Amino acid sequence: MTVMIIVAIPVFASSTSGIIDNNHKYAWSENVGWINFKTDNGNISITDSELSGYAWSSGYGWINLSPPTSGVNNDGSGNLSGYAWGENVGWIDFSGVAINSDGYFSGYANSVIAGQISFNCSNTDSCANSDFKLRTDWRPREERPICNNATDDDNDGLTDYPADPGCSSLDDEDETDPGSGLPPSAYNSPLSPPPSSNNPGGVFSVVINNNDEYTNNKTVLLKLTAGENTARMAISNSIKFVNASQIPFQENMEWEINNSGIVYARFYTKYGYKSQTVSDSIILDNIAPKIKITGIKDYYDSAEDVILIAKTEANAEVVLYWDEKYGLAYADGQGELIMNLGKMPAGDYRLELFSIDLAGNKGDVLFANLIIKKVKKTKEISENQENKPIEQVQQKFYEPIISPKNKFSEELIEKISKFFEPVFPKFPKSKPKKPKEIITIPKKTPLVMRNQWNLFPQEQINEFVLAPLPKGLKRLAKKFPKLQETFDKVGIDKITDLKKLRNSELSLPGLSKYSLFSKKELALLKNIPLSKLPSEIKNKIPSEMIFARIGDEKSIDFDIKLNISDQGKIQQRINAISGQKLILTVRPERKAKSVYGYLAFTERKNQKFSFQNEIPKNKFCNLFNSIIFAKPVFAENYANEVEEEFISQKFSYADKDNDGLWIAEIVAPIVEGEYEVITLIEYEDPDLGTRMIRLTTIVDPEGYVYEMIKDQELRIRNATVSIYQLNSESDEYELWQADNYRQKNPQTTDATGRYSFLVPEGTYYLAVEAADYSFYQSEPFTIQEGFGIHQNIKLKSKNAWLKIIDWKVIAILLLFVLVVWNFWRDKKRSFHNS
Amino acid sequence: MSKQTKILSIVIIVLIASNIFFAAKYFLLREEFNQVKAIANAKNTNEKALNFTKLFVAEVLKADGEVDFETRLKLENAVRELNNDEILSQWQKFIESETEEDAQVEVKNLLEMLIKEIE
Repeated sequence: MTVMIIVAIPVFASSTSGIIDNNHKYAWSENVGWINFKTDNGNISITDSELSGYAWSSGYGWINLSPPTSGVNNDGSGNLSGYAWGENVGWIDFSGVAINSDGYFSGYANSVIAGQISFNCSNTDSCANSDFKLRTDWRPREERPICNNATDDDNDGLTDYPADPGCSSLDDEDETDPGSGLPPSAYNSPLSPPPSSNNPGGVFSVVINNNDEYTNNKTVLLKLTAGENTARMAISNSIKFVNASQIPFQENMEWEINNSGIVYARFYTKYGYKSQTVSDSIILDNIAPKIKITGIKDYYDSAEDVILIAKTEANAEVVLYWDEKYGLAYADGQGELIMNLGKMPAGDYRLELFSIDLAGNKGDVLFANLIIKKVKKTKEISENQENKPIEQVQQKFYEPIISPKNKFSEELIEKISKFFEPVFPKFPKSKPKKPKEIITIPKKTPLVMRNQWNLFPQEQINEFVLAPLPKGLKRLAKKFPKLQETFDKVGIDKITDLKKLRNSELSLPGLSKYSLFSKKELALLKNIPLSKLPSEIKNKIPSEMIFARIGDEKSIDFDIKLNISDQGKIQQRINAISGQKLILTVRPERKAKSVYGYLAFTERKNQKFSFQNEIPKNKFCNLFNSIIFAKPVFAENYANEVEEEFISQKFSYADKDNDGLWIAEIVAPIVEGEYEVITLIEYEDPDLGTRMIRLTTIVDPEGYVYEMIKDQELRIRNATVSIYQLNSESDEYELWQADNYRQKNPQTTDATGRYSFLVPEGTYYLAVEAADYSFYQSEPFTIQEGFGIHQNIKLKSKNAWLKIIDWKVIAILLLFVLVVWNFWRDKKRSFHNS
Repeated sequence: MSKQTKILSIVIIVLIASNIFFAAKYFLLREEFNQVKAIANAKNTNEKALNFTKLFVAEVLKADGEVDFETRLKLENAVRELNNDEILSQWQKFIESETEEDAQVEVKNLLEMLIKEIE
């Protein structure tokens, strides 16, 4: 449904603007007789502010109710004032006249000549003898419906129907929404759109043809941007929105522009509130460009470049065709172009060329003949001087090739002439350079562009697109039902679906949160070392997966963060702190003869030592996980793949109590970098053979305390680093009880300034104290279990201000003192002399 | 030494010092400007490569029919504007492919080079 957008205030002849009743149209004056207020040409009109038109007296002529210098006024409540004018009766004072709630006039108007003019027989109680009355269908504001009383009754800035959305009709007695009323937001203008890359300012916008500068078609594509509460819009080629209609809001629409190429748009809420007007413009050009050759020789030598000059529309493209090939040249801002077709063998050629302007209009094809002659001897050329077009072209474009020696001087001349150009426009300039040869393509379309071949191998693409998820990932999902649920919900069942997980981090539960365990079992897992768990719980622990903990078997349990690449490779960011002890546990699928492992260095991590002034919440690095399994579920058959040269540590797992859980203790390497923990399970069953589990671990350095001195970091020794935990019961911070986690708190730094904490989930802050340094306290931060705290903390020296004084400052100060001293001495001397 | 001479000496010293300071500042800023200019040039090349890649994908890889000569001309001009001999040579190899298999190999090589250029 379309609604007119430009709405004139309607005239409703019954309330806000009235006329005189045909049956009650006379007033009476003793001096002038009957006065008719409803004649054919009188056109009397009564509004909330005034009366206009003419009354007629047969003896005294027309009486103007709105003469230029005065007029009869209405206060909106029906109380009249001001003067009417008649050529024969003079001024008539209406201040004693009123219009009542039924539209009847009452009281008297007064005039020197006409005397009292009575508007109602009831004034003199004479209706029984002479029943005359003057009546209108205009009604005082107070008597009209709320939605037609010219008053903003609900103070929303909008008055009456249809402007006020609370009014359903002129007879509506309530300007607010019937019933509970409109929400306050109903009176808001449309919201601006949120900022985006295409609309960084977050403003209403209309964009024609994706911001193209030109078009040759009146039908354009509009892209409209508005806020979320925009329900309708109006589009027009006129700023006054003439004949525009409100239509439902849509982001894209086709539109017919006029010759101006400007399109205006306004946006409306569902309550009718409108935004400011926005516009965009495009240049409509549907005239084909013309091209004219202005410089061509009668003939060219086969040893010279064939150069032509042409004139066409500014910045147009010119397509050329000759000798079974196409070329492209561009006109400059003045429409001029010089085309160098290069050297051509002797013969006659037919050149075709046409231009395409910026709007995409193609011009007619122009033909030119080119005659190429074989190279003549130098003497012959010098004799042929009467060939003027040749001369012109040569002089203009055939400068000798610039030698490297001359290049510098040429550039210098160009720079100098450019410098003096504003002052001396005729300053000698270097010669224009020979135009570049036009790039050409053969007329025959190459095989690759004939659309006969598949440019990408279809079979490989199909294999890739339709390939199922990698086996390892399927097994991982099988062991973690929640992961399978996630895959089902997100719709991941092919390898190409993995892109949906790009940039997302999956979280798998730690062992003590593993969903296969009951609540009771989980409580046991949290409080009892793995080795002492009941056998039924041990049997539920996923096989061929590595579980790792820090400190001891009862230590903190951590969730796992996983990233899955497009190829289905699981990428883990497992961060350990150098020198940290960790316990690895694995449960083989069947009975194993032995389980052993290697810690292999893969690459050195490029650690960027940067300091963050404030420790961001939830941004602490992952210290370690209780379950770490870079590729544990991808346990693969071992085929002597471990490269000995990279192994930094060998270790063995042991199953001392024959419960099927094999445990090993290792220490994270001191040198930071990326390592791989390779675990080999040698099964008793020869069919299973030896299985290998790979695990990638990033070893982070510990955090450290330092001071900046001239852009260099100086580590601080003997700094006391403490961590405080928020006690949720008392709502106060207390020193974190590190003893329970086999750690120290506070920690005192050595010469390296290093420290680190591994804490359970909670809210914390860090405090650092060091002699001669200001006290440091971080902002409180909340962290999840499994996050290590090893931020680099910058301390400020108590006398930091002294460090801004370097030799430069001292030199300036000294210079200043010397100058002052010199002036002081001179002044003193001149004082003594005088 | 007269009063005037002294003042003059101080003024000269101050002016020399400030000249040295501003000269040093000028050379430092010029160095910085050159670096920024180099980055801007690299970005410009990057944009050209991106534009060519877009054109290539839209007009060749996603072509519904034979690529017309005007588009071929635009592609040829765009690839030469990159001023990268390796890419130009790879483009020519692609254009001159005689078999479907060759074209598949060359298009992959070309895309790889373009991606590297854009990076």
